[in-house]
Amino acid sequence: MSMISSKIGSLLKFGSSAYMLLIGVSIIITIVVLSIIAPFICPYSPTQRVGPAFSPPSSTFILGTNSIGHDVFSRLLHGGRTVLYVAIISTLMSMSIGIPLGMISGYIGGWPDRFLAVIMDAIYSFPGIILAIAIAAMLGPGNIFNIAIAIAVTYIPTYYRMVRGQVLSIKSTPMVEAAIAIGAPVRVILLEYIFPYVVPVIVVIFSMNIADAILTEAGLSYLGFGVTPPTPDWGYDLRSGQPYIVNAWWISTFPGLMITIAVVGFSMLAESLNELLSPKLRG
Amino acid sequence: MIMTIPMVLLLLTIIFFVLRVMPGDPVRAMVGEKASEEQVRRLREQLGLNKPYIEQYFDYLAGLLRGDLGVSWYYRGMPVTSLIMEKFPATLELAIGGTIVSLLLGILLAILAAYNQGSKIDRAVTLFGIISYSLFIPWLGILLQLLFSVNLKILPLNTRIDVEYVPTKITGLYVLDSILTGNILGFVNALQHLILPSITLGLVLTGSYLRITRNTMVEVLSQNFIKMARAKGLAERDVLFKHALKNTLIPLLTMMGLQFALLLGGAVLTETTFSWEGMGRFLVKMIEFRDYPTIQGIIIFYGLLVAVVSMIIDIMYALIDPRVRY
Repeated sequence: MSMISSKIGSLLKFGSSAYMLLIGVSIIITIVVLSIIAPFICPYSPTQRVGPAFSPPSSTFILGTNSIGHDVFSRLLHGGRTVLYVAIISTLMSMSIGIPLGMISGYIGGWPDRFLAVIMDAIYSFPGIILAIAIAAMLGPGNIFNIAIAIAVTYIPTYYRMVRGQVLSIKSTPMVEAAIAIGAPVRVILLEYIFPYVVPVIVVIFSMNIADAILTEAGLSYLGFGVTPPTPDWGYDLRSGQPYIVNAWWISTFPGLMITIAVVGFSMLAESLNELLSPKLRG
Repeated sequence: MIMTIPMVLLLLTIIFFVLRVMPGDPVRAMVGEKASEEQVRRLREQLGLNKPYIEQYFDYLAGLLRGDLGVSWYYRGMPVTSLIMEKFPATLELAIGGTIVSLLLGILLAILAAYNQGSKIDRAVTLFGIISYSLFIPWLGILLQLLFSVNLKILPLNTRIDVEYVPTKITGLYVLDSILTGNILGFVNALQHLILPSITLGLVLTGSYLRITRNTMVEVLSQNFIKMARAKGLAERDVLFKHALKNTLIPLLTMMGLQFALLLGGAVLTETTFSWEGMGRFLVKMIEFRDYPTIQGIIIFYGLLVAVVSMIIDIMYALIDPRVRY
C-alpha cells in the first residue's frame, strides 16, 4: 500500500509531466463543463442590461457589471462557449487539411511535395495573428465561421510539417517497404501502416493548436475582428472594459484571466503529452 | 529567407486581386463626392487604375522592386512606403525592448534551472515558462498598467513619450533620438514609456528562450570541458556564464529566428494595448478605414521583414559558429 502511494507521490511530483497532465486536464474539463451548462447556471442573461453600469463585484453581481450594465459573470460563462466553439472548429479545419496534405505530400515525394513544402513553410514563417487579421478582414469579420477559417489557415502548416516529417521517416522503414513489395494499395499503406505512427504527433499538436487558437481568437476579438457585439466573448469583453480600468478594473480583468487559464490548461496538456507520448519529439 | 519570398508573392497576388474585385470605387472615395467626373478620370489615369488588372499587377511588382508600394486611399495619395516608414521605428523600438527583456529573463532563469537541475526550482521555472507563453498580451499589459501606472504611479500608462519630449526625427527610435539630440529628460521619459510594453511583449516570448537555453545548458554542463573548468578551480560564475553560456548561443539564435514572427504578431497586440503608434496599430486602423493599398503594403512589408531577419540570422550563424562557412 505504501509502495503504491509513494509511486503515485513520485508520479505527481510538483512540476512533473503527470502532475501537469492532471492540472491541465482538470482545467480543461472545468472550462468545458462550465461552458456547456452556462445557460442553466447563469444568474442573468449575458446580453441584456440587468443592473446599473459599473457596479463593483457584490453579492448581487459577483463579478460586477460592465459599462452597459451586463453581468460580467454571466458573460464570462457564455464567452467560454464562443471561444471554445471557434477554437474547436478552426482546429478541426486545420487538421482536416493539414494532416492529409502532410501524409500525401510526404508519401508521394517529388516536385509536388517540394512545391507544397515551400508554400507551407512560407505560411509558417509569417506572423500568425497578422495573417489571421488579413484573412478575417478580407472575409468580413463578425461571422464566427470566417474567424474560424482565418485562424485555421495559420495552423495548417504546423500539421503539414510535423505529419510530413513523420511520414518521411516511416516511409523508408522495412515495414513499409515490405507492404509496398507485397502490393498493398496506397490507401492501405497510408492508413494502416503509416497513420498509426502519425497519431502521437497529431495528439500533441492538437492540444497546442487549441491553446494557440484560443489566443488568436481572443486577439482577433480584442482588435475588433471577432464576433459581433453584444455576443459574449472574452477578447471583446477585455477590450470593451479597457477604457475603464482605472475605475472599474473588474470588467477587463476577469475575461483576461479566463483566457489565460484556458490557454494554460491546453498548454499543460500539450506539454505533458509531448513528454509522455513522444520523448523523441522534444525540443 | 528563400521560403518567405513565395509567401510575399502569394499574399501580394491574393490581396491584389481581392482588392480589385471589392465593390466601391477607390478613386471616388479618394476625391470625395463633390469632385467632377473629369477629376475622377484624371486621377484614375494618374494612378494607373484605368489599365487592365494584369498590367496593374505587373506595374505593382515593378514598383515593389523600387520600394514603391503604391499610394494610400485614406491619406489621399500619400505614398504607402513613407507612411510605413513613419510607423516602423515605433515597432522596431518595441521589438528591441521585448527581445532584450525576453532574452535576459529567459537566459537567467534557464541558468538557474539548469544549475539546479531536477530540483523544485527547476520545475518551478519550467512551469513559469509554460504560463508565460500562455499569457494573453492585452491582459498582461492591462494588469501591468493597473499596478505600475494606476496604483503605484511610477510608470506612464501608455503612448511612446510625453508630447513635450518628442525628439527631432533622426532614426525615429525615440530612446535613441533623445540621446543623439542630447535630451536627457526626453531619454528618461521615452525609456519609462518603453518599460511596460517591453515587459508585456518580452514576458510572453520568455518561455521558448527559457526552454531551449535550459535544455542546452543541462547537456553542456555534463560535458568534460565543464568538469575540467571546475577541476582547475574556476569560479562557478565563470563556469556558468563564460564556458557554458557560450554553447547555448547557437540554439538561442535559431530560436530567435523562429520567434521573430511571434514577436511581430505580439507587437500588434502590445501596440494596441499601450496606444503605441507602430505598424500593427496602423494596420488595424487602416483595415477599419478599408484603405486596401495601405493594408496590402503593410502585409508585404511584414513579409519582407521576416525574410530580411532570417537572412541576418543565417549570417550571424557564420559569425558565431566557426564551423559554419558559406
